[in-house]
Amino acid sequence: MKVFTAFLDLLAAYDSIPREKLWRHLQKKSPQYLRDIIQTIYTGCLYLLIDGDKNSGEVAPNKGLKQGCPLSPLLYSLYTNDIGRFLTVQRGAATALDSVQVPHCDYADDIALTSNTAECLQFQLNKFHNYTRFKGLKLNTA
Amino acid sequence: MVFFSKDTSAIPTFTFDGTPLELVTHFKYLGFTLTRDGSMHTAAEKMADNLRLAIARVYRTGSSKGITHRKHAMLWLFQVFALTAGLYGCQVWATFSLTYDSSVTTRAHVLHLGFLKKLLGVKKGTDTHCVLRKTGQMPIFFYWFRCTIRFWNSLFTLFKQPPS
Repeated sequence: MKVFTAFLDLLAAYDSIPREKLWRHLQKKSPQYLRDIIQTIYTGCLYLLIDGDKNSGEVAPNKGLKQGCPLSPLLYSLYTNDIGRFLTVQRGAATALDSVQVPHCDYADDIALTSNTAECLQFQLNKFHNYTRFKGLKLNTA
Repeated sequence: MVFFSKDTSAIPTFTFDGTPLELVTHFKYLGFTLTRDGSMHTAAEKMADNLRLAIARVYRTGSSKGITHRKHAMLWLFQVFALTAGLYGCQVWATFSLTYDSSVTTRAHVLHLGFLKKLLGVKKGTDTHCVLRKTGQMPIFFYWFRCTIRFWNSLFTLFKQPPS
């Protein structure tokens, strides 16, 4: 049996997460006091990029997760943990267990869609496209 | 990528938002090289390369700290730096060599023993079991086997049903 797999690379996954959508998503998943703390961390942040004697001036990004922040991988995982709602399990690849089909494998922003037919994979790719639009993310197709 | 496909001409072009996606014969996913034929040998070879580099790192660290003559310390360095590199992803790629007989032909096994024999300062022809016993090491397939069983058990727990 063939396994059709699409390895997908999201374009600047961390940097392109819309914060408003992230906070809305977390509303369903986390208590208010935790969201307040996280939002406070992200409020009023200014960045200054320095390269030798040159600097970028102050930058205040209004989207994206903080690079290097220990909380960012968790926030990214929480933000994208609804991918399963968009993909159809029945079109996923078969496994040794009759009752288990795997439509996607995810580790942070490394995503692989798996199916046993070309039609199913294209169907899942179309669904994934809807997902990226819904989440404000972009796929790197280059 | 389409696994288990010898004839790629019959594979349609997949698109994402109208943009055609590239069809590849191998792909590195989570540090693990997957190939079209579904074989784990390419991944095993890449991981053996990582093990070789990690062993070189053990020697470099040992030299820089002046501890290459302290066999016990060098074994610890091997255990921490090199063995972990040789185990990365072994739950998947090492499944074709989870017995002693099938593992002796792998490059990782040869590298493991090579390191131990060099450490002990014995000839290459020295009996493998003596070397492993003397250094308190298991054959490398044993570590792979243990990781695989742990992975299997966690899958088993996750789905809460016996595999058919």
